[in-house]
Amino acid sequence: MPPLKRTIFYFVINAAFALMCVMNFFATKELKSSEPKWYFLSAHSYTKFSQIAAVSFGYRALLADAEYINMLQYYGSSKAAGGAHKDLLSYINAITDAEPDFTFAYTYGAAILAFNLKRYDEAVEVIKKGISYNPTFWKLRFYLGAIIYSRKGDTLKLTGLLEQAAGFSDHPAVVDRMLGNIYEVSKTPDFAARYWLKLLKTTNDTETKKYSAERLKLIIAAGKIKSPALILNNL
Amino acid sequence: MSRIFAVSKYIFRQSFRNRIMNVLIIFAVFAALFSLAVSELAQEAEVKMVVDFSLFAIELFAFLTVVLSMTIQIFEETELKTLMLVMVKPIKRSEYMLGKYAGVILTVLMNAAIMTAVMMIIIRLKGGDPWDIKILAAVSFSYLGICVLAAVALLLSTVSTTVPSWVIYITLVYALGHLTVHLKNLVDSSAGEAVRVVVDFIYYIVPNLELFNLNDKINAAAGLFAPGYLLLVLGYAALYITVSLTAACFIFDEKEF
Repeated sequence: MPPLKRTIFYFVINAAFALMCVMNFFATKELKSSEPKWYFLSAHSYTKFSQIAAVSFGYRALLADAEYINMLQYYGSSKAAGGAHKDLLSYINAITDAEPDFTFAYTYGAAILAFNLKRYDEAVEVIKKGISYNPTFWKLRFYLGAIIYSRKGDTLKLTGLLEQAAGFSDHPAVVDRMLGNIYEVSKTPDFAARYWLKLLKTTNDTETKKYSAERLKLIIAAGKIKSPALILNNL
Repeated sequence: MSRIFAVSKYIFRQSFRNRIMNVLIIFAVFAALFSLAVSELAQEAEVKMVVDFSLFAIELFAFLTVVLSMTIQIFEETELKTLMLVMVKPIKRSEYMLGKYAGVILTVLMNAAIMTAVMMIIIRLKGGDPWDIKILAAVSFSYLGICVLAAVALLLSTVSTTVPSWVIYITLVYALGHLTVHLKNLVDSSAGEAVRVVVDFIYYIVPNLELFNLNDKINAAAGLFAPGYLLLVLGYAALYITVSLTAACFIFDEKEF
């Protein structure tokens, strides 16, 4: 290769390499900004060797699946049942530590802990962990609400969580109905009536529309609201 | 171009003539089918299990295909001296290298396509959506990562003197490629200046394979990456492959046999 041609060749290769480095830098920056902190290895992120190996080689999901099978086998074993599945929470944590995006593991684990084993605090702990890693996944809030509402009757906490869930665009219509029912018990009749009226006008769900109209009629018929005319005029 | 195509066709056929490669393909298909058995253990998460296991198997077997296919080529070239037969033909050395690369990635593509097809059939059987864009994107980017690795493998084959040393180098590159982003994250937050310089050097030289890893993202509630990110990764892959292949051709051109 002639010297000049060789110099040009070196220059082009080096320029391409520099551009490649810049792209690597920006792609990593984008990756870091779009991913939660747990995605990368850090001094406090992962504790088990299997987790570090899985994160290092990019098979977090597969490790979580193995941990999920472990959890199912533990839950299904009669020996563990004799000990009231006391280690179940750590089995669930092993799954969600490996893959914090595995949302089904939170809902499934929490449902077993709360509804089958009556360990509400642990169930809430599981769901709260899920919410911290998957803040946009409404089902987790819904499950948390359901656990508290069904088993503890803690309506104040439930209301806040359902209001958060209702803020997501992909929330199910049942969340709106559940929230309305709670408002009827915990808030004033006027507040509840205004809520049902708003829902009646905004919801696209036929069942919710029908349900809202029925609830409004009942509230008005009970005669507890201060200005029924205002509600009726807006109907 | 026709000469590059002829070499790639030869490499592709040569890979499939080898018994070890055929066994590897059979194993790859069995690995995908094995996901069906594994999923039976995962009550209510069967589809996820099939997808995760298959994606892992596709990447692993794609890597093994590159290693095995290149090992066969290097062994035949150096030990059986088949390279001498090619050198006397009217073909440029760079054309031979490009054809070799095309042949290897075609072999990987065929292997990955068979495994993906098996995975999609199993997903369908399990009641999932086999045409889910997230799964297809994960497979595509996994293949793209392997194409980058194959380019590095070709470059390393020009500087390695023996087959075992080449296998060690490429395995190290594969491991480091997945680790660099984590190493950088670790040293950026805690290490001293000297360590940071060393890690930065590795980070820019070794292909950043973690950028291609969408396998761990398909279950994320927030969805896959933004199109801008995917374009950046595509650009990065194109440049990395170009630089590696150019360097490989250059070194091979200067080599004396």
